Amino acid sequence: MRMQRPWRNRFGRFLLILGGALLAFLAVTPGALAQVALPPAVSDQGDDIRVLFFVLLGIGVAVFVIVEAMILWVVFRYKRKSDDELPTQVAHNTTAEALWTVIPLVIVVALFIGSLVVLEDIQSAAEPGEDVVEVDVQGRQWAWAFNYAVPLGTELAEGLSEDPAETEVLLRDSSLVQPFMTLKLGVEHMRVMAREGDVVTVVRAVNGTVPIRHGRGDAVMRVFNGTDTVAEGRMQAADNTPIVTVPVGTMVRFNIASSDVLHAFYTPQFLYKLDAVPGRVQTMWVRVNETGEFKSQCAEFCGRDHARMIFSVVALSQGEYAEWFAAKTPAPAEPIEGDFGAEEEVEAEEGAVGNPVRGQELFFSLGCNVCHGDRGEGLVGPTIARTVVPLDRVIEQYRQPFEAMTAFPPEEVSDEEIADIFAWLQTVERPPDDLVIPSKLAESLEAGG
Amino acid sequence: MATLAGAQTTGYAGVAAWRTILEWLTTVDHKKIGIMYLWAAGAFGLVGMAFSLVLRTELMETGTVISAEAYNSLFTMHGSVMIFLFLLPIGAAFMNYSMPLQIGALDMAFPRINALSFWIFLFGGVLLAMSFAVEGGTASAGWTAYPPITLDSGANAEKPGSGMDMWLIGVILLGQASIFGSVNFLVTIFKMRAPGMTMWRMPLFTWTTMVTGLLILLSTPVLAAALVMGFIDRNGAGGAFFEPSQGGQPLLWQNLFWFYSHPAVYIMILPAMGIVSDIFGVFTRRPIFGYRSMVLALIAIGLLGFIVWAHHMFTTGGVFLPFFMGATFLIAVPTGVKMFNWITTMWRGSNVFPTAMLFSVGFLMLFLIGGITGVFHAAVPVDFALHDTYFVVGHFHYTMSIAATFGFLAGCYYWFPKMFGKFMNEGLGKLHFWLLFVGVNLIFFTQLLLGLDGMPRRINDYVANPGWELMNTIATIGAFVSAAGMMVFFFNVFYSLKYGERASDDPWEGTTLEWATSSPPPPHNFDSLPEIRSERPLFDLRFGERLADDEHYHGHAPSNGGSSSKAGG
Repeated sequence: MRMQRPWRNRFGRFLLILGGALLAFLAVTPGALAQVALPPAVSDQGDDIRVLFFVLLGIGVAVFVIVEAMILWVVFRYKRKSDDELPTQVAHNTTAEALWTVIPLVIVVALFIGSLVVLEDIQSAAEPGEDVVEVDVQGRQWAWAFNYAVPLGTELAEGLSEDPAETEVLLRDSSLVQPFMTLKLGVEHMRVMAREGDVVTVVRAVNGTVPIRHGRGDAVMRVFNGTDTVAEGRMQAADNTPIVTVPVGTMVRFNIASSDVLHAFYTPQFLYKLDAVPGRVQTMWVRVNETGEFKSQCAEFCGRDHARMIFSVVALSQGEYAEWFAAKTPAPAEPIEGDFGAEEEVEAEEGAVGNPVRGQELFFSLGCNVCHGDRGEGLVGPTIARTVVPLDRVIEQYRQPFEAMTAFPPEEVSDEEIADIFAWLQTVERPPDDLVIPSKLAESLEAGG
Repeated sequence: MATLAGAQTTGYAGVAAWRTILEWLTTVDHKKIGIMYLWAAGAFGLVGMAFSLVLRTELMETGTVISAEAYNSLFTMHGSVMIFLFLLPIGAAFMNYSMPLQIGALDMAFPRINALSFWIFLFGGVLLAMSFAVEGGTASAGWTAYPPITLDSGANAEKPGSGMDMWLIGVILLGQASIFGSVNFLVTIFKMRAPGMTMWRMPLFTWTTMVTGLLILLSTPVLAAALVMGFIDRNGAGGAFFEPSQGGQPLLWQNLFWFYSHPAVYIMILPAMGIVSDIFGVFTRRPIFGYRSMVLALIAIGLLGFIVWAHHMFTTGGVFLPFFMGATFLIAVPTGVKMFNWITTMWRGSNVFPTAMLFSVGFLMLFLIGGITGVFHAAVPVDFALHDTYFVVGHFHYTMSIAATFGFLAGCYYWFPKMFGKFMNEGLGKLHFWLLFVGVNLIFFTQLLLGLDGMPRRINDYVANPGWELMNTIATIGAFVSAAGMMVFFFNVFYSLKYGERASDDPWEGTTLEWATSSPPPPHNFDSLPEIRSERPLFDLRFGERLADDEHYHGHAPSNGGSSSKAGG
């Protein structure tokens, strides 16, 4: 019996030409070749994942080549020669069947063990006592906020229940607590509204977590918004791309949360993603080992502007990071004597329609600060400090947003409450012109007269 | 004998046509119901493909052609239509048409429920289609419909309208149709087999029908429960099942949804595996290699399919990773057994390659890629990198979408002569195969590469990453090449119905019972049945005497070592 050569029939020739064309195509497009593997990792964890990936790729390519070759071999080699040809009727072979059950089983068990080792490795936390940069990642439709937590130097004097209505916290020493500071207890962010003795009144800020129980002695941290923004590479609806800044070489703990729907924190060069699930906080440990800027984006479908929910990771050397951190950190908390907050009389400006103190409270409890910054100076959302947009148009903006803002129906925030926020925004300082993030709404109003 | 009753009783053409329509509307014949499933699934598949062409056009280059809302609705409905209205019902079409014939049954066990099942399915499909017309448009939360974006309460900025409710109700109805169908398949297989047709003599397609039926019956009610919970949550009844601000758990939906939807991928692929198994048995003139290990592998895949659902949720943080990783890795073993058995069936076979066989070989080649890329996702750390990127899009299209479609297309070419008494055109069939085979690889292999490069799925634009443009352009070209292939197919169907070459009752030298009756079969299926002594009764009839001296022949007939059975006939 003469062996049939693949190029002897049309089917074979076609396949050969197709394969050749594909190879030629890959060879002439370096861009295409660069995409055949995962991007180079820039973190220790990513390096480990990449090793596992290449083990899988090696086995996968070998299996692919061998089995596809077997398929093509039997297709080209064994063709019916005459109409009354009857092939062997061998219907099973215990040895062969045992082999192709056991060999794959051994391979997958080995891969399973290898994967477990890598999994254990990439999920392990920092060593006790090791320096850790703690970043609270908050996803929301359709932007990111990155809050940094630093110890305040005090702790809970009494436990705090999980009742979300509870707003009074008793601290060991409340002298470092300042008005409108954000405290972190466990995973929760709480905005300071008032202080009376060591009792601090808070509103639970929107960081997408459920209240949890805290015990006496739990550390209290201070939180500040460390989201940088950049205007380049901006996409249609997002005014700015949020940036999270991290140091190289230090363990970074990302606490990933969502305040509305599912998102996923995904940086391709970390080779790692975790979902932001409302009501949960997930931890991702990353030790970045290369400086640079890494384009990232939300990887879990989250509604209309999911594709525009991009962000960047900027990794700085230790020295540069220390500088950035120092510039970003608000002045260290200074002890404040006496009480403040709720008891103080509000001196509303004459003719003002809203109550600015209530407005500030609402500004944080509704989460406006996440996009517009803690003083309306603008982050991923435009600058709204001392906005020129009239109140009635602002109310309309809450109800039916122009551009990518979350809509707020009247049952979530009333017209009066919007007036309060508006009133507070008229009391804050407007940043210098070169730092103003332009508002498309204000521009359109100006253009339209 | 197979002509439609009533057609000759009147000379008036209008009345005859009306009677034919009425007969199809009121039929309880499993063959007619199967053919109606086939037409409906084909039509819905065409719609799903049209959606995918719009999606690919949008992604071809950076910048947008349609709005983000429209894109989100279209990818949601592409997935929903292709899964619920194309892949699941086209499996049901062949299970309806062929399974009762393969076991020598008169009809399904419950013919009226069978008809009810089809009409519920059609109504559910029409409801999904109509959701485009309601205010706020159709569902746009993906076919997986993960809350909270499906909810119009709580912090979700998008408040989906009644299109989302119609989606939920539509899928509940489709699930109900599936459940009715599965009970029917199971009872038919357990109770209606012809004399001599023992379980170990059932054709592999019938075995896959049985395992598929069990999967549908055990998993679909869980989906129905989740859908009802979603409906309650959405309609202000205070269910608080999934709404986080009310203490609900978004991850609960994912667990319930995948408890159905992972078995569902086997519900889609197993019938296709059954079809190609039967086809290999016919066109190689060999017994399917390792028939019993094929059945055991099938059952193992079915069982494992129930304990791996959370591998869709590795990045949610709410999963016990080692268990689901281990179980997922294990699926590679029975799948590998099937692959090697198929190849060995062709090895030293007397193989011919009509279009049905080409599509079966194509199934093997594509399914292999899907299987290998699946192992990447099983390894949790690598899944952390690849989850929700285009790698997973490429992976699942290679397996449950494209491989399954190749299996079902093989089934179309294979059973068309039985259904209509005519061959499909072979030249057009080969053109169809090559266009589709090249096209789908252009689409999905490039998507694997895009996924490795970190392109997330379900985005309508990638302005920030212009480097992804080349691969996306290739994929879009592939989509249009595939669509051209499918147009050739649809043309071939209509052309062959009218001008196709007449086929005999057993044009392929089939091995199983459906080829022992006329083409198309009479309403009562069989006038007589051959003796059933193995899983290949017609092969025994045709070649049994010639092979009497072959020591391997019938050596595999497992149940009673070749002694004659209580044969029907």
